[in-house]
Amino acid sequence: MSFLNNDKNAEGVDSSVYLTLREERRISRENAKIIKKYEREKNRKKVDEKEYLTEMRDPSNVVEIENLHTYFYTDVGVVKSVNGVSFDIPQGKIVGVVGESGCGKSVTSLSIMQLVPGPTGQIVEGSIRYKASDGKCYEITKMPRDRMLKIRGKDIAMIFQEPMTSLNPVFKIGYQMDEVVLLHEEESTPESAKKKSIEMLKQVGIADPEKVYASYPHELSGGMRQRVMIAMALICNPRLIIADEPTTALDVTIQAQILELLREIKEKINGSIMLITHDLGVIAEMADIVVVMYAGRIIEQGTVKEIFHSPKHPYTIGLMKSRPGRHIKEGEKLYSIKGQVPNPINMPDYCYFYNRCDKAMRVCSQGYPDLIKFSPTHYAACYLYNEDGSEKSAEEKERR
Amino acid sequence: MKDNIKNDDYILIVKNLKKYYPISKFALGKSKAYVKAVDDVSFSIKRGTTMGLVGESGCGKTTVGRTILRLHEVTDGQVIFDGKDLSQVSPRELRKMRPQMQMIFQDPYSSLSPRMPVGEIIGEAVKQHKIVPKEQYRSYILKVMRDCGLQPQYYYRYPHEFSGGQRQRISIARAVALNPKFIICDEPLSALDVSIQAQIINLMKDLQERYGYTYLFISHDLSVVEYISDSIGVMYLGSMIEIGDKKRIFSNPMHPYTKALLSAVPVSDPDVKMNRIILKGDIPSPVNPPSGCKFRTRCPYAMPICAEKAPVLKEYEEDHRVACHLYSQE
Repeated sequence: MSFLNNDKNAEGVDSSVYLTLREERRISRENAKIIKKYEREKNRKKVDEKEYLTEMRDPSNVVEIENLHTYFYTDVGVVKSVNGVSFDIPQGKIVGVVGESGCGKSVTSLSIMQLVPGPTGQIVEGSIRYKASDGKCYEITKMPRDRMLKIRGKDIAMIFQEPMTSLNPVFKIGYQMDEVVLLHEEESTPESAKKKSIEMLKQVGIADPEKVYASYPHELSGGMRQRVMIAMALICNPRLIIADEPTTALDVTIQAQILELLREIKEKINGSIMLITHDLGVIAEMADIVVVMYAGRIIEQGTVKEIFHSPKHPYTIGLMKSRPGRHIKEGEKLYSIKGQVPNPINMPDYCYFYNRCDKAMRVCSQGYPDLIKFSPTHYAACYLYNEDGSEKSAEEKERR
Repeated sequence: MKDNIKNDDYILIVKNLKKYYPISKFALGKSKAYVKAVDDVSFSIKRGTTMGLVGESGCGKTTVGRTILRLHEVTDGQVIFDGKDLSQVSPRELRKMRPQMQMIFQDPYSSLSPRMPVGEIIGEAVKQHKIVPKEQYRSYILKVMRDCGLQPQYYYRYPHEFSGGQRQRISIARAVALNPKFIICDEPLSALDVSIQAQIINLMKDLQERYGYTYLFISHDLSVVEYISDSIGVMYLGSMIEIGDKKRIFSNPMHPYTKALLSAVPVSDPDVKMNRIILKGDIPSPVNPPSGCKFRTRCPYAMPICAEKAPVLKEYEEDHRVACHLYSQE
């Protein structure tokens, strides 16, 4: 039958190559070797602090990520989830990370927390520098596991997407909150922990904190659970809160409540927030700095005004245009980005957006573009622009 | 519903639809409490238009969709589809009518059988209902696939080989293959990425223009509903609280809940500072809803009368009805 011609590059179909059993075994043997090396490094005990002390490039940042590579060594090949990501999180600012599912935004945040699901997931290259409250700077990628325990949940806290699965269903809210305090604050007693937990629940706008303290997670609604998660994240006065899609599972009216709360709390503790979401509306409203990710790389980054008023990368532009909203006139069709994200195994060695881009040129299929600087804060990785940030002329585009 | 409206204009008229689920039965099978998932909902949809149904999770919008198709039995009320009362027809007759009303589900991962190739998924019901003669079957399926943006070589592939967006296209093709008049879309976009959502919205609009389908579009995403719908119904805790023309509702929301809902949508422009109405508290339990107006526990304008009497839908302006005591008093 003629219509059954196998078209390997057909849009939308998983184009992964089928492996023979032998090949698969070879890959997993090689992976095991690599993974073992990384795991040994992480499990070391009594490591001299000098090994992971470092200097910040800019002392006003809480976290600096530089050229981060996080790979997953799966049996079908290496998935480069985060492939050379660099950005800073300044003190007291909200950094928004946007991107489609699978673009590596969650893996970036898990790398900061040293929570990349192991042993297949490993930070392979790059550095994450974290400035602690006592002024010391730590290199998180080199930190041994037992040291990281003291930072995770205390100085860097995380709010997850699904509050039901991130709370333990068999323990009461109070027990789970007290645990954080008792673990991280040496002089705390069960009584002082309880007092602190209830105080925190009150701060996140829960009307009846004593009752919530004594209830199980299933007894609360989605919005309440997310409030509890936020209270738990805040209880040790963190310097950085990572919020991974904190409102995706919630309704719009509840989402508005939670976003309002996050903003208030940021002011109160003067901390920084890394806000991960796929909703451009949430980003526009909350973030100071925006990072747009696509297939494991940053394709554009800038202040919220720069990104929303003068987006440069065709993907960012497409993303803005494809949202239905007030900017669409009656009867007008929605702009849609054709095709979809390439397969994470066997990524191309040219621009990842090439196949979906309206403005693709020949040069786009010949190598990955460098970041071009438009202003001290605004960067994009695209061949459409000259080194100085001006758009290339039509003839030049033609010539390429 | 006014009687002078010509029923021919409407493909679907829902009158006082109720769906109660019994809970906590006594030993002898008599129920003592009900979840009033849908409580006295009435609306109608004109041929070839799209009606959006919005509301928070648990407000009964999905139940409305399923009860219309009699995937759940109706507790009380009428569903008149194309002149016939669906709540009365016999199962045999209902089966004959099934091809005319189809449904697209929310999750494209769980609504496609993993053991059937795409061609068979789309064609199963076509064969069952004998939509086309046997000899035209294959070319018909391929035509439907082409309409929905699926390439012919996908015919023998299995759902796991496709991404979310392509799977949703398969679900749409499955619904469209039966030449339906009416399609219920139950949150067809919420499992998809933003860039893929736009592709699916455009596909659904194209198909509607070409074949004149009527959609009931159930969603919690107000910006999508605003784009795709002609009329809109807003639900809260099993009741319709505001219903009417899209433009009228979006430019002039009347009910305090609709106002809060519209103001809560984040706008993708950093310069726009929304004058946001933030509702306090959560949606109450549908087992034990508040007396009178169900929204009064969260309403910033609640009055004494709201606790006593439930407001009914009243025409405020042409094609715009609201159930709220704020407007019934003047």
